[in-house]
Amino acid sequence: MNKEFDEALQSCLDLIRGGRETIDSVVALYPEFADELRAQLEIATWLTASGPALDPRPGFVSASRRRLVSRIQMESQPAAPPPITISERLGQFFSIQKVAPVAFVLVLMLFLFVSGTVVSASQKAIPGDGLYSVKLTLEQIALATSLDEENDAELQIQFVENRLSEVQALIVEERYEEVAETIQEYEEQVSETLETIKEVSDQNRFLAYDLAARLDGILAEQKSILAILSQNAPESIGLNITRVWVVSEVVKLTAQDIANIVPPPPAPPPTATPVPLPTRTPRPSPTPAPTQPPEPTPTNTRKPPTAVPPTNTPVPPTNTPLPPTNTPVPPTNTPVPPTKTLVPPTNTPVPPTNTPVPPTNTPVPPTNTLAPPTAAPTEAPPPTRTPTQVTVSEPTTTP
Amino acid sequence: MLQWHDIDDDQLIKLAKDGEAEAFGELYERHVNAVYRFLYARLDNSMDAEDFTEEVFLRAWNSVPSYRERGVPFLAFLLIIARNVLIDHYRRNGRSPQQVTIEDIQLRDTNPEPGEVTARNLKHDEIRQALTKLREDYQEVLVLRFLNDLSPNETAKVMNRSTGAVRVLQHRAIVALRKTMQKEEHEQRI
Repeated sequence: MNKEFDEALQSCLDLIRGGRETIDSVVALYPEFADELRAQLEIATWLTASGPALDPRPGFVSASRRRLVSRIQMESQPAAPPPITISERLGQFFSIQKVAPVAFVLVLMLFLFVSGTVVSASQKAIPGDGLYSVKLTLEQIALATSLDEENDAELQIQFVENRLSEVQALIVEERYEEVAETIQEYEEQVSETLETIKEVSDQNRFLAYDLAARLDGILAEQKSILAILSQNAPESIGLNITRVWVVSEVVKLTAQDIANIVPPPPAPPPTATPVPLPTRTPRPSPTPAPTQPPEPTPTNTRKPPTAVPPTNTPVPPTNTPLPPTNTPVPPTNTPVPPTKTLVPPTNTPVPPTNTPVPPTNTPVPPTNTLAPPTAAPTEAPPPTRTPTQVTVSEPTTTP
Repeated sequence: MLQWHDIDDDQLIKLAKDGEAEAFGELYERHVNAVYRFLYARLDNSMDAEDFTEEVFLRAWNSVPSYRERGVPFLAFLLIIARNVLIDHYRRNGRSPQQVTIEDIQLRDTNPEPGEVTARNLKHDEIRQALTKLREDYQEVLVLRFLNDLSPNETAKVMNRSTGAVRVLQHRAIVALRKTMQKEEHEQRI
């Protein structure tokens, strides 16, 4: 097949389609391709004549055009928002942006209410209750957030009281199986509390003493309640409660130890009334002898034993022992000497006597009696010294 | 007043690019028969041909913005799309032609007269019977050249071949079809 034949075929087809020529007439125009050209023209004209049979049915084109144009126009328009249903309107009304703040506040309030209720309820919980662990956790949180050891000690004293209250509640509710463990926790709590109080004593001994005294008081009170409750409890509970008493005694002794190392509270300054010096009856004292100081003895009071050195001078309210002196000093308002009793020091000065006292070399030892100082002047023997006066020497002024 | 049919294809294409749907509708009306013939000659029923025809023009509408870059006449552009639609159809349904009953044909063509429908369908069946015995490229070149009346150059663009290749292919396709028709005629005589 060459190009000339193809052009001849195409020319013949055009002539035939024009309606003026037939296959025979056009083939005569190309005698060199006559046979082949005729064969192909017959097929080509058959196909060309069949074309209209393959056209779309009437009405399809117009209807299809309308559908196509409508569809194109619809797709070209911006998509309109779909109609909003009632549920969508409700969804918009309760949209996340609007509901979120309200929901947050509600959740926060619910959380605070629930947590507050839980915290409140947990304070009444006793061992074995579901909220008891919350109670212990809150105690640990309070302890962890405490700012100083004093506050730690106060919290721990409260926790000790809590443990004992829990023991009481367990006995009242006859939940004896939890008692032993609770008493164990009580003992541990007491131990920790005493440690904290000792730490406090390093900084403030008076405060430590107060804390120990509070702890001792709480334990004493709880101990008596436990004694009553344990009367109807099983024997094993009685043994456990005995441990409480032992611990209470330990606390008491510890409190005493702390009290022993705590110095007495600062005494008030001496009164403004000075003790007048005896002037009219001077008594020479050639050999003034120091008085025998009393033996310092420990006391159960808050006043620690103070060693008083032999001196003829009144002891000032200090712990510094003063050296002996020969300077006669009349009795003064000297603060308290060591005593074995709880008698408070008296500020009563020994009034000066107008009666000349004969000089004597015999020092009058101080007495530990509780007798009040005598105010009346006496001729002889020399006036008795009260326990508050540690040493009083004779006046040494010469006439 | 200027009518749509007074505007040439290039102007209509330009309007269609600007989104003028009616302009594209005019292009549709001008070329729908060629597209439909091309499809119907390769399909076994007119319903598919109608559906695929509309699909071809919808694809063309979406491809109009890039049409000029192809450098082919608009009908060739449409027939390229139609060819791809057919390929997609064959891939979906396999190569076997659908068997269509006469009842199906009469149901889908209710508007024309019954006699006309029958004649058209018989002609379609005759063409289909002749073409389906040929290779795909033979069918395609014969349809494009003689049913769609495209030039060898336009046919070459649609088939994505050279013009010379199309001439050779056309010659072989006619020879093959002629042999097939002669064979059938011979069998009918026997």
